[in-house]
Amino acid sequence: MGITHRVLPPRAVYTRLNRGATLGAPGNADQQLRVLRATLALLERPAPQEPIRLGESAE
Amino acid sequence: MSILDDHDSWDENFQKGWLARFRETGQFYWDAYVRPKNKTTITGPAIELKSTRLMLVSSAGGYLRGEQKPFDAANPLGDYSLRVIAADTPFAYIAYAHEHYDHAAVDSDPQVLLPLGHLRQMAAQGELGGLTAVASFMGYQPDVSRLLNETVPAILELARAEKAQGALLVPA
Repeated sequence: MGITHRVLPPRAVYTRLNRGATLGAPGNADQQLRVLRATLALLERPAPQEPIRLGESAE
Repeated sequence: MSILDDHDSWDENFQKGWLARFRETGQFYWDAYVRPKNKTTITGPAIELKSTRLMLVSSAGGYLRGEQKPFDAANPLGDYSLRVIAADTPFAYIAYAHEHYDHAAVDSDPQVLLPLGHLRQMAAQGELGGLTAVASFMGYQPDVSRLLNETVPAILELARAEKAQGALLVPA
């Protein structure tokens, strides 16, 4: 979150997922697709967008 | 519009601070590393996913096993080169050279970092217009000037060649 907050990308998503498993837990295709779809949906809005925070975590 | 505000100032700081001290001592002085900071953000139009050719940009260090040179993952100054991976490449052909994250998850399920199967499925179902080749790099790159002068132009060249209309960066 630190570097993203500093460089201000046009669109960004934060989660509580682990480093090395950005899109979701291994084997959890449903979670990976939720993160992927929520992230891609930002492309359907003009940039810049406020970063969004998803409730996804590794637990 | 620039990717990094005050690039000259950042570069001077990096050259005279972190990089000079590393070259003198061989040690990392992260306290002396000035992290990039922007005051403004890049603007862009909305796009319709179902008619968009999407380029996946990955910093996970993926490369084609046996066909492409692995990234120089152990280099303390980073690796700024790019590997191009076709979107239909089977996961078994892709290896990862990156020493700054735990590979256990990606070795167990590549889609945690490289969601090619999910994106192919979305394209097949009409959620996405299509996929270009993947722009793959190794995301340990302390020299932001080299990132801007080497890695970013290579990604943009690939995006133009592949007629990408949108991009998704999945950091490792």
